[in-house]
Amino acid sequence: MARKEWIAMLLAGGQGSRLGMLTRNIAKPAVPFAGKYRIIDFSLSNCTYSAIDTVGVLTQYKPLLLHSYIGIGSAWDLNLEGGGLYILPPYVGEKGGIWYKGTANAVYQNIDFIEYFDPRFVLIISGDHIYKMDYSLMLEYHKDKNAEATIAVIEVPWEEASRFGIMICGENGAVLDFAEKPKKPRSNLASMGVYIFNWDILKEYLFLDEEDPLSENDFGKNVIPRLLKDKRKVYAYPFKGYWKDVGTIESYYTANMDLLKPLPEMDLFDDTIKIYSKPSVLPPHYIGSGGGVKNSLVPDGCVILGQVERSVLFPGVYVGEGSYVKDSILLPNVKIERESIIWRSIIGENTTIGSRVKVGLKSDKYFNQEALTVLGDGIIVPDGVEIEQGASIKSWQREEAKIS
Amino acid sequence: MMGIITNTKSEDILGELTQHRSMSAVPFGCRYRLIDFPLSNMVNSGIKNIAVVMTNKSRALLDHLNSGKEWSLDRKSEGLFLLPSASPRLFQKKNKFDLKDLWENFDYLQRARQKYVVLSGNNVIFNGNYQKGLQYHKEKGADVTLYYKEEGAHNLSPGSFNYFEVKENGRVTSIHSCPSKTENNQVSLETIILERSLLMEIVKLAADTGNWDLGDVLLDNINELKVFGYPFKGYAGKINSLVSYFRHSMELLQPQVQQELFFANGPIYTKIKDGPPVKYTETAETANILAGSGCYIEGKVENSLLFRGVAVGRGSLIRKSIIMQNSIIEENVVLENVILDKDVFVRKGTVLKGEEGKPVVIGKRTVI
Repeated sequence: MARKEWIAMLLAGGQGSRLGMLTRNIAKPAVPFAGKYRIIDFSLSNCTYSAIDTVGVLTQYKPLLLHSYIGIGSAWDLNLEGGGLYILPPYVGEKGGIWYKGTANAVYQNIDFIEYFDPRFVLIISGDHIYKMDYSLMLEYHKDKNAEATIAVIEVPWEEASRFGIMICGENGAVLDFAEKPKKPRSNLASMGVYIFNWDILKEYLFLDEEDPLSENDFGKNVIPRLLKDKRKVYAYPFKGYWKDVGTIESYYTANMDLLKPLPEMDLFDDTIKIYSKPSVLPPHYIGSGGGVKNSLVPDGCVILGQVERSVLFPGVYVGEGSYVKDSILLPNVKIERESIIWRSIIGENTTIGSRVKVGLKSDKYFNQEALTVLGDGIIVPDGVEIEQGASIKSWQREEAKIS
Repeated sequence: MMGIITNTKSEDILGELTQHRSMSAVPFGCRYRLIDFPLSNMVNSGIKNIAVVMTNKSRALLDHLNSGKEWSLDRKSEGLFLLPSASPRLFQKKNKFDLKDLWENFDYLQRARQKYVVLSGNNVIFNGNYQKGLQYHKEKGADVTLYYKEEGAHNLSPGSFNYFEVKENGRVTSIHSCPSKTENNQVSLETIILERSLLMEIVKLAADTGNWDLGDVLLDNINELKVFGYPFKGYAGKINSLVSYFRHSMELLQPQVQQELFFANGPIYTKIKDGPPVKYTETAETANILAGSGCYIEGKVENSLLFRGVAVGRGSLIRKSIIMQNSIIEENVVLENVILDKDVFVRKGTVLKGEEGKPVVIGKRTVI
């Protein structure tokens, strides 16, 4: 087989434990986002746009839904001869096998896969981020700089810089130093977790990393610092645009709500990089005579008989007559019966809320702007129940207190 | 069982809407085209060998069907077949099922291995499982089974071989072109089940005699052939005029109709567009609407259908209208009883009103 210019390795094995209720049953890349997508759609669609024809998707944590969602990649036009999308879970060989210990170890365990395609360059990305990016421009930059490794960076507000992996760069873009979550950041250029390596260099450093018993086998923490220590040619590729790690419930909520702004930083209606997703095969959505929707995103298959304001709905959501949903995210197939109120809440997939239920209200402080209320997947909330603001509910049992 | 979707002969009955496309490709229900209904029914009935007869205006249809992958018909064995039409059909307008098309593609019929065939017109919308019709066909020991629905005369219009006389035992005794009763007219749903061998015999006979009309052949042999009528009970519509197109579209605003047409026996598949979810802004007002993905709504929309990718500007009012794909309506526009075909651009402040139930149709890519 002819040598490939480049292939992508997409890290999709993380649990995303800080997303709590949202990743109880599914991996973070499979979490629904922006009304009809799942988080991994963004990275996969970027690959499609960048004309990468071979993508290995490394999975580990609760992969069932993720695997069935990705399939053979046809939704992203990645079902290709001589390449395509491959799902790469951990496996065993003659000498047994181990789970993926870290991001670098996950790629290390799939060296055979990469060797099979024999690429000149390997793009490492993750399925955890929301952004639209043309990786092919980054590859050009990598080649122009004659780099051995290139790290995509984005300017973040200085006050937030200590939450990221921060790059200190020379004027020509060469990375001089790297600090993971520094207390006193010396720069505001944050690593986006997007790397391009020359394959021969990456392979060498994956072996070195694996031999190091003290290594956590992580790209950011171990592989990049080692490359810098060895004075390898590492460059930073400055990316301009929207990029968000929806790592926590709060950032997940904010990123969804950002889309409702009149001019969102990431415009889903801008087709420049089209975001593809697995189609849901549902009819158009219906808004009833007594229904009203304002400042919201509504995908196919929804039936809205009540009022919805400043909310993001997902396919198959039902809002019954007289119900009122505000500042909320209703994940796929959420059903809300009649005359219920949902405020500032995230309601998990397939959860049914009965009639005259109140979710996320504080009787004395109706307009409390603070806490989000989160209901997990597949819960059935009976009629007339009140769920206090800030509650986080994973199952409903009759005897159970209101807050679990 | 195998399936064949045939043409409607008088395809110009929808005027502007069939100017550039075949009846099969007429947009319907915010995201579908008419052919999606029989085609999805066939797929949902477990049919793996499906042919679609082309017309002289096939571009939109070919683009829509492509490899058939949205219906899981891009198979190595069988799957979707596109059959060329026998003639451009400029003048013949009366035949219902054109046997000439099937004679032209006789090899296809000969090569198929299935025992039974379901023939469907391309202007009927319902969500049904043809296995039920086949079971009825077998139970009755029928030679030919014709689908029909019962309807009062109110909304009916004449059409060749449109109405059946069905006896209590289910036997069809006559076929008419006009509704004959005020109540319970048996309206043809252009769906026929018969054995492939019988269909081939009829096609050969047609080639010999020059009578290319299946309706005629059935009527001529109504006593010799055991022709039975299968009463379809769910929601069913037949698009044979602009008025009926508009009426059936508006009926989609009833949740009961949505349930019966979009879910009853399985999903209706269509070409995927990958548009974003619909965005309703702060100024949007909505009541009783059905909308496909990718719309951007800033104005007021009532009792209307919006296809995928429609934009409605601030201060605009859309009532009782059908707005097709990617049409753009600027600010302060008033539309009432209007059908906008695809890619229409309506400039600021335009006011356009049609008659109740008789909509004004604006052709594809018009700027008004």
